[in-house]
Amino acid sequence: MSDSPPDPIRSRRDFITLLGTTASASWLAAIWPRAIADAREAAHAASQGQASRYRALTNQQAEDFGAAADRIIPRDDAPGARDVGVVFFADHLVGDFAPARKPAFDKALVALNEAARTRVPNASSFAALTTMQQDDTLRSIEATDAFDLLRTITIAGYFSHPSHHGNRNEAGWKAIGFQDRMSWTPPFGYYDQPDVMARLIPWRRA
Amino acid sequence: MRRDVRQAPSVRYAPTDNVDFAIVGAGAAGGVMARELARSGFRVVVLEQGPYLHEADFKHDELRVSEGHQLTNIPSLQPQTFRKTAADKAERRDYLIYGRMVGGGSVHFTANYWRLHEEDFIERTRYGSVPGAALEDWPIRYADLEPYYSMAEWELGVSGIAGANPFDPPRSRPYPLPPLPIKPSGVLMEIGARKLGWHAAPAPLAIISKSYRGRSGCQHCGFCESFGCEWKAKSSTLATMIPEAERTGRCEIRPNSYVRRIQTDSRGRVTGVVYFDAQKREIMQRAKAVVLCANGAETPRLLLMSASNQFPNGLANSSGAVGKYLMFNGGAFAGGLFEHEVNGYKSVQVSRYVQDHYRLDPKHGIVGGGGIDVRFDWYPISFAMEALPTDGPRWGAEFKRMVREYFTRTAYALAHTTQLPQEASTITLDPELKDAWGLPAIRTTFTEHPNDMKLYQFFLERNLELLNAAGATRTWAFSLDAPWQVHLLGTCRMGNDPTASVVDKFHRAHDVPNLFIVDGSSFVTCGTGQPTMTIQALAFRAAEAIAGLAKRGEIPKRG
Repeated sequence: MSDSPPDPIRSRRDFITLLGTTASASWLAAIWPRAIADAREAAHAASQGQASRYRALTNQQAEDFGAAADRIIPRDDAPGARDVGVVFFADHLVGDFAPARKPAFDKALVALNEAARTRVPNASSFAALTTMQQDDTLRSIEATDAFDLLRTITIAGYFSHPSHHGNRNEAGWKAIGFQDRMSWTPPFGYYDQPDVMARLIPWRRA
Repeated sequence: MRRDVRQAPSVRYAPTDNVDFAIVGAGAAGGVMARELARSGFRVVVLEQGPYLHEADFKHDELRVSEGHQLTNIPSLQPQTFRKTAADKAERRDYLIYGRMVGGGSVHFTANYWRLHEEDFIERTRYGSVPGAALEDWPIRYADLEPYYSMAEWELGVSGIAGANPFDPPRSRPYPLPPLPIKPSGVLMEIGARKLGWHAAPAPLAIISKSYRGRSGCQHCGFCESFGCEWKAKSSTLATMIPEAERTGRCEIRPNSYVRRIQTDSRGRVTGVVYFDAQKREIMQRAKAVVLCANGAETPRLLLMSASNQFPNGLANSSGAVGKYLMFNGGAFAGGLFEHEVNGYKSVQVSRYVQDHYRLDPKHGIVGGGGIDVRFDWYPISFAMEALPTDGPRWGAEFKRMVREYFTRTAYALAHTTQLPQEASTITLDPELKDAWGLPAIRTTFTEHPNDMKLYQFFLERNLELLNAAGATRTWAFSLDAPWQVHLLGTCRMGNDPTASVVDKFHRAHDVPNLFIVDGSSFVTCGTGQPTMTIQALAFRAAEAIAGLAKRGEIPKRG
């Protein structure tokens, strides 16, 4: 997965409205994954002509934040932060959802670059450092509000509802075993399976 | 986006209509008052500072309820200040969290629904004078409130099993609904409690386990704490009392109405309330009587903002007790990692609790006690932010590995404890900071009594003991310093002595015969655990009493 612009479709409900009222549920279910992919392609193509892909972030801020986010939640056998769109999440957060956070976000990136230059005097930006230098830099500001904000936005972008442009394809949720559903039925896990309960808590009445 | 069609309000009153009751706050207490008074035949307007949301507005969107403050007070509009003692300068800090919408905190609460016990009402008698604490008995006893506890369980819809908790106080009726299914964390608690000789019981919850009075039962989606229930299975006043109040045709719920002042006449009687509407226009709603249900912080704040020549220290405050004796319930929190899948994110947060330490043995030298539940009230963002062992990595490959390993395999023990009332713990008006309407901000002054800290430490040890006995492969403690507080209690305490309390035992202000105060502020002591059920039982009892007074012509009107 690479950086691509956020889906123009903000939620399944909006999408259903877009399609109009004649779509039957089963038809919608059948074409759903395809329709999303098409919409993504369209949005991506539309973005190529634009100067910036971001609403609130400069390209340099996007680079630096993305680099930091990828050290905070790096890729393992599950996607890393940038893979799931946390840069677009951050853009949405400080540009739209919580604009009051923008000054602190800008300040945090300034602090990040200052810390980078303290460690690597001729560095052009945090994003330009090696990953080892980036880790050293982040460690040096670990106890600051600036780091806390970058960490918070990274985590929120990785795990928030996908309608906020991060957690793309629910990849953050899949990585931890969370599923967003409207209903579950018991047993919910290992310990409440009837045979396991009969063994572990034979005295149970309710 | 498509929204469901709102029912038109059943009745609308003009500000000039002299309604029987203006209720301030449509939350846990206000919703009950509205329904009970409207059903008794009175004309009621409920002024709620927050919006009127419905199930279609509730989504599994963690960012919207946390960063977006969809269901709670909004710090950017309503900033607060905090200080530890009156000698300190208060700093800008959003210390209190409370429901700000029709339904109030009953919409987003975990729905733990515990009765207080008999001894909670008589702690002064039991412990005598405790240095530094303003311990008093309540002017009512458990037996006075018991019928209303049962009423709350049946009228709202509560699931549980009578007699399963051997420490339960006496009850006149069983629960109307069977308990929710046991969760993996509940099984773990049963194991741990049994080993320790404690008694785990199905947790009573204000969430319906099956269909009840036109609502369908819980579907176990897992989004209770901090969220509104899309299924209407949580028995909030939004899902229960409020629509029933509106259906009487005598109750108007007026959202986005932020009350700034209770108006009084030359004889010191209430004539109505002044509020800002959604466009920040100031409007005076006339009323023959006012019922304040605005919560333990907003209620004293409003009384203090209603000072006049006649009431220079704030309305109903001749005792000086308005805003004092603030309590929250204390607590302690610990986590445990288990071998197999716990999947705490599914279904209600709590399925088992213990009350073996509800009243500590005097040998410990600690006043009060607590109850413990085993829960999982994290969601993906908050879990990654805060749920891991506090000495572990906070970012990087190992951090990510742990989040992935722990999310489905952890359970947490939360103790809910006594906090002692202290005169110096207060809600006051900040002398400098204003909110977005130009009104004085809430200033909280609070330090725990030394007994509180001993209690937290005691319960932190019990939490760890329980998780270990349940078979945790690793356990960890969380800090005992609360970053923020819920359960706003005690700030307009009830009592028989008008020089030492704000309301009488039927919630009438001692100083103002047509002003009533019914919410967490009425608590004399905070009790041992969960307050919402007691707030609502008090409201049912108060509504019956107030309706009786009104029908007998015993609520004096303006002069």
